[in-house]
Amino acid sequence: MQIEFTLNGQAMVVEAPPYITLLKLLRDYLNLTGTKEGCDIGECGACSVLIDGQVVNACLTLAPKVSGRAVTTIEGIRAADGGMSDLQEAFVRYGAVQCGYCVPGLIIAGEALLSHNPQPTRAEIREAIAGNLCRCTGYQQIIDAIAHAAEERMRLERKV
Amino acid sequence: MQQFGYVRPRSIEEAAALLAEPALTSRVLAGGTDLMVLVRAGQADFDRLVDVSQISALHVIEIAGSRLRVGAAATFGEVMRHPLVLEHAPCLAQACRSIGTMQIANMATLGGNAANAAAAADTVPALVCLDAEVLVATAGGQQRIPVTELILGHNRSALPRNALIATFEFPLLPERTRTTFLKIGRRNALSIARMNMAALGRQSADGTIAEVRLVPGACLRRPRRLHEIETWLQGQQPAPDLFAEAGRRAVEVMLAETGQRWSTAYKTVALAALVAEALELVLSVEF
Repeated sequence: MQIEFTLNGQAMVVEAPPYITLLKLLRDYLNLTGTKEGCDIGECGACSVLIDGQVVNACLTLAPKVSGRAVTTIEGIRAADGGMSDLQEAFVRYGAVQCGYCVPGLIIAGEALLSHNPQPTRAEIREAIAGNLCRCTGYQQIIDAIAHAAEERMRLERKV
Repeated sequence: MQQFGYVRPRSIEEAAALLAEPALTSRVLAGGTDLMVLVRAGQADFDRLVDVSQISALHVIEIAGSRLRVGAAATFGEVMRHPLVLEHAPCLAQACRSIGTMQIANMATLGGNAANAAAAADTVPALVCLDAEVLVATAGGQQRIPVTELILGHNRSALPRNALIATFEFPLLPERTRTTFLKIGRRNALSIARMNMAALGRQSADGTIAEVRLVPGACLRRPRRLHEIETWLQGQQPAPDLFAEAGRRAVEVMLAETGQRWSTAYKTVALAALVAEALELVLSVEF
């Protein structure tokens, strides 16, 4: 069937079977491999994407569900000049990237949090990333990165 | 991967008509967080999915007369943040929050949680505690049934294949009524409940128990209020000893229903503690 949706700000029409997941659509049909397959069952968050600004597991989303909606993947997260976004830079700076496998999902979860709650407490950050597993870092660096990115955004906003 | 079709109706009526079509086996798709797990396990038993998740009438959260109405496709995320739910049904908001992952919360729906009827479903004890009714829609019209009659047992729902849950409704609670929801899981987040509990309590002017409701989950054959214990508690003065005794009585009820099972040694301790803790949260000892 034809699936028409907005992907990272661009109108897309894809011909795909209705019984595949969004994860499979992104990775195998659109060659967007930034979204990772960790468990394929909604328990690790490595496949996190945004649908209409809300973070979801692409592995549990049937592909046709995105018809008429706006999807954002990690490929859509970048600075205006095409380089790393502020949140991505914070992840690097604060040691939140080790093997990197959880990072796309966590960046997406972090962006979802900050778009709804620009000044999260550490407890709120922890809740917001509770659906994302990381085996390398122990999470503190990830929480630091999101907290510092949030602070920096608020600081820049006050300047303007 | 199993193959099946997909269709997205724009109204409850259209959905019911699609579900009633005789040539295909259709099944309701809401969030998909349970259904996709079945599909992954190769257990899809349908030719076509009818996606009701975008029908706006199924996302209502509103006061309807003296009741609160929540649409069946309202996601856990929508429910847990809604001011009407926070004010009138805190136990339901807490149950939705207990899912512990934003990704699932943004997809999972109340209707799906009830229709899937897992013994450990988190929103079910809260809905039973609130004496919720379910509006079930078919091509023939709508029918109202108590949520306790919808759920027959673990993964067994009375919902016919050609039906969808439209809304949940429950009476607004009298003033000074407190509700709570507790959950025991293997982790703080992303875990299926080993046991959960919804409770409600209200005290009279002299501090005695005016009303109390207790609904344990993942405990009994079917989700229900512990009427036996509620009746015994009524009119009594809240006290730690009373709560502990309520816990012991709850365990007796469970054992009478389920007998000794592999999980009994754990569940007897857990249930007694959950009951006592829930009562502490909805009833004040110093009133």
